[in-house]
Amino acid sequence: MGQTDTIVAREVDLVQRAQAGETNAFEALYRAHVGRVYAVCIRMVADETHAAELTQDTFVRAWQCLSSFRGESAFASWLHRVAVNVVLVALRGQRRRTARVQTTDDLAPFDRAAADPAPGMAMDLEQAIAALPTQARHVLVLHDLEGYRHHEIADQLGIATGTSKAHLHRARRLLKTMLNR
Amino acid sequence: MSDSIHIAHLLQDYLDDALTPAERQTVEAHLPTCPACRAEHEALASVVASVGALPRSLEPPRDLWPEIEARLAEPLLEDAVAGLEQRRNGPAVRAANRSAQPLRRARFKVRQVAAVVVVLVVGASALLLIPRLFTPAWEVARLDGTPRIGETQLVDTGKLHQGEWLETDSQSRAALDVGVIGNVEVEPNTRLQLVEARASEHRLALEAGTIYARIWAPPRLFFVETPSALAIDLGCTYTLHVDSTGGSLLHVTSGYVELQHEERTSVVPEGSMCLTRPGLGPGTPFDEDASEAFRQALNRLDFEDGGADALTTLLAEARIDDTATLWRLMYEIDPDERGRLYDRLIELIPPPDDVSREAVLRGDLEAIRLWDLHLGLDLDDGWFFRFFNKKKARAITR
Repeated sequence: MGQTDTIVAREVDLVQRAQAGETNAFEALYRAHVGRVYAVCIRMVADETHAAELTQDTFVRAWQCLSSFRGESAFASWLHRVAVNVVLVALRGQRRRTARVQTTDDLAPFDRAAADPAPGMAMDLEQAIAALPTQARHVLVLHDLEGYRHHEIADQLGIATGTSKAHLHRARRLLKTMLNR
Repeated sequence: MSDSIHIAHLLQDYLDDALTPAERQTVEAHLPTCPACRAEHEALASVVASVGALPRSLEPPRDLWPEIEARLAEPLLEDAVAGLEQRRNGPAVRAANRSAQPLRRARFKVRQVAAVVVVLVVGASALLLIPRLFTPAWEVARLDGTPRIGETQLVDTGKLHQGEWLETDSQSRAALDVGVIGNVEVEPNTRLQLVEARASEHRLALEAGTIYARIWAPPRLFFVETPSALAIDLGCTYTLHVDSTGGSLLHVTSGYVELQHEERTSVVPEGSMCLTRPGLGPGTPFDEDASEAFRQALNRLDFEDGGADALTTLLAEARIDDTATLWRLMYEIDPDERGRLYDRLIELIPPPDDVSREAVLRGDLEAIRLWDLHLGLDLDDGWFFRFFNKKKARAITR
């Protein structure tokens, strides 16, 4: 049995034990996958505290739905979909709240780029992504990092497919400008 | 040849493998021949590659497991909802419902009346809404703050119907889909109206503020009316700003835009800007990096009968990138001034072969054609040459 097979077999074992209610096994899954989940959350919301909350929500949600995981895909892929769903549901709620109080949700993008980066986001490109306008950032992360297609993003974000594409193109243009400054 | 037209607007779809085979072929034929588009392609490809190469894993700032573990006993939200439904429909509730039957019959009549009222209200609303359903509209999305469509605040996305006004304040921005042929970003403090939303004519009126337009359709399908000129898209990306006097500044970042007011026309190419003035229309396009003194002198020549002093400043400030502007002025200025304009022009750029100074000064059409070719002011498909010559021909014959 190769090393990869061993890792897969161990993960299958951990998932089965977690499905049987063993929190120790679920903690091992958390340790193995928390970085990937946190990366999606922090890039989508660009806020460390909120990203930590969403990471927690993702694992709590995964624990609650673990019985629905049948092993047809890798556990990492399944968990990743849970994370994206948790983030998008939270963002939809946030948009509704924002709409009610009618505040501006974006600070000047370039001002934010100049702010101190959050821990774990020390690279220039990460700062630039965090500084993008909200919807442009969501579309960029989902499309260029997470591999979603425009019609899927449009469905998830409740926007037109063309708008998703426009946000993506604008995000890349802004990144190009910011990185060349 | 189509590959002589810049293809910057296709590059992102090219990177995403989202072009038709014909568009892909156009891009691949153009890139080896055009340093500007190649540089843009490389810059965008580098951004996409850098984003794609970001680490898929980032460590959270602290260990989140203790808080997660404490929450694992939480009931599922769905379970909580199901439990609530069960309680709501449980035996005690059903018994209470049975004991309330007379009251329910009394309520039934009230409900009938209410239903009739609802039908009438919905019917009346539908009659009012039906014309609106058939009014052409473009998708609009909020980017920042609270843009408004008429009196309605745009919360997330919506539609801008023909005849409606979209307005942003100092904190708000919006993105507008131009049908299926492009999009427009509406910057803060902007007021615009959707005038036409037909497949053959997409037309906005920009009363004030700034838009950034990106159009990927054939030329002459997208028009923006400003108080001082009409901007006609010729396949391009541009920013258009209208100030409080109704004057405007156009900055073309790819492709070409034609500005038109009555008989006055200016075709503004990529990397150039152009001013317009109410009642006068467009001035002469100038390079985006032209000096302030050059711009002011040009402004005086275009709009204020600048005369010899303005021309002296303009010639002194001119760089090689300003030669296209000098050439366009050749037949706009006093014929007696053409000599010194031409002499400065050939200091900056050697003249084409077989073109004499005398031929240019007298407006010889073959000499003009050779200079156009020399400065790259024509396009192989001929449309630009036609517009440019039309303007010059009028000036020469004055």
